Amino acid sequence: MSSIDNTIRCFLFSYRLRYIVFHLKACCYAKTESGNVIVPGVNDP
Amino acid sequence: MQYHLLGKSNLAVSEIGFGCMSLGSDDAANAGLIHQACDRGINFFDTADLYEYGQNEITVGKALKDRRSSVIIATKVGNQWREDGSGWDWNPRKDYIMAAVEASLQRLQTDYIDLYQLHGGTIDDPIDDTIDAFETLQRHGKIRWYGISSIRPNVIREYVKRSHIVSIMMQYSLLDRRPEETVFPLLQENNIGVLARGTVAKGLLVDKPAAAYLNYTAKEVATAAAAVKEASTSSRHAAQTALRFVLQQPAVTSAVAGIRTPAQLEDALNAVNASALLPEEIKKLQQAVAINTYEQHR
Repeated sequence: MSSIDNTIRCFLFSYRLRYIVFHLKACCYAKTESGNVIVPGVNDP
Repeated sequence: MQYHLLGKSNLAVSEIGFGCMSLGSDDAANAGLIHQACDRGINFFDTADLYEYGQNEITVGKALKDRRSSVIIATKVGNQWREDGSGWDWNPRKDYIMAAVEASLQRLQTDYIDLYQLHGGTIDDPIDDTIDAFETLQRHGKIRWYGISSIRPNVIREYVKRSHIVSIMMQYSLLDRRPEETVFPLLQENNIGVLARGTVAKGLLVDKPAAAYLNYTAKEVATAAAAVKEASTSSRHAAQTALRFVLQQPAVTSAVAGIRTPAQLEDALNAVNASALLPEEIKKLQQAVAINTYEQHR
């Protein structure tokens, strides 16, 4: 596998990881601020 | 306990408000806690129709029905439970608000709501339609005043411009100073009150192990918590210092503390009697971590 492939794979993995972390954080936040419900404008991450 | 007029309204709210969201399912225990709060000077109680699917309004209504004239009840609207029971949808339309208020009044066992708040909001909402609902309800005497619970500057600006809101409920603490940039100055200029929630940043400023919060790393959170601890004394504990930081922000009318236990009630009440932070103490706290700003919905 070329180093370019590896770079792309690495980039995609890190992007996906950040996406997952973002949503996990949003979820945890919502649980304390609006009774388990994500409300637009109230518990934006 | 001190009382402040909420924005342009005639509601004199206690500087500590009772956030009812975390109350449990035991009506008798909840009533005991709420009555104790009333007896100690708290007159502002905040709930919402979506907390526990309306059960929270029911327990608050039961506890306050015999004290109705001496308390200020705030609730919220804008989230609609799907008929198939699969979840909530955001619905800020007038027809929904006009129907939802009746259900809240019934659950709260009252014929008027002191402060009716839009529970969220997006810039794509039919804002004039939403405002028309609140204005109509006010004219009909169903609500005394209205406000919005939102942290989005672009949405807040529209309501300030187009409506007669008297309050904004928003998150504010040493670890969330985002409102200071543009929102607080705008609200002060327009005499709109701030009901601050999240004053101890989920406990991170007090007793929870440091963890990343908003844009802050765990290390920065630990630094902020250490600054709070350093500013605290034997007569002003960390929770009270964190709460006083919020109360001493001129834009803030009342700090709404989430209360579930007698100990939490005591903590909140003690903040009122705790010594005020000196200007140099406030400055030191502010310098502990770099101020943050809103990145989205500006």
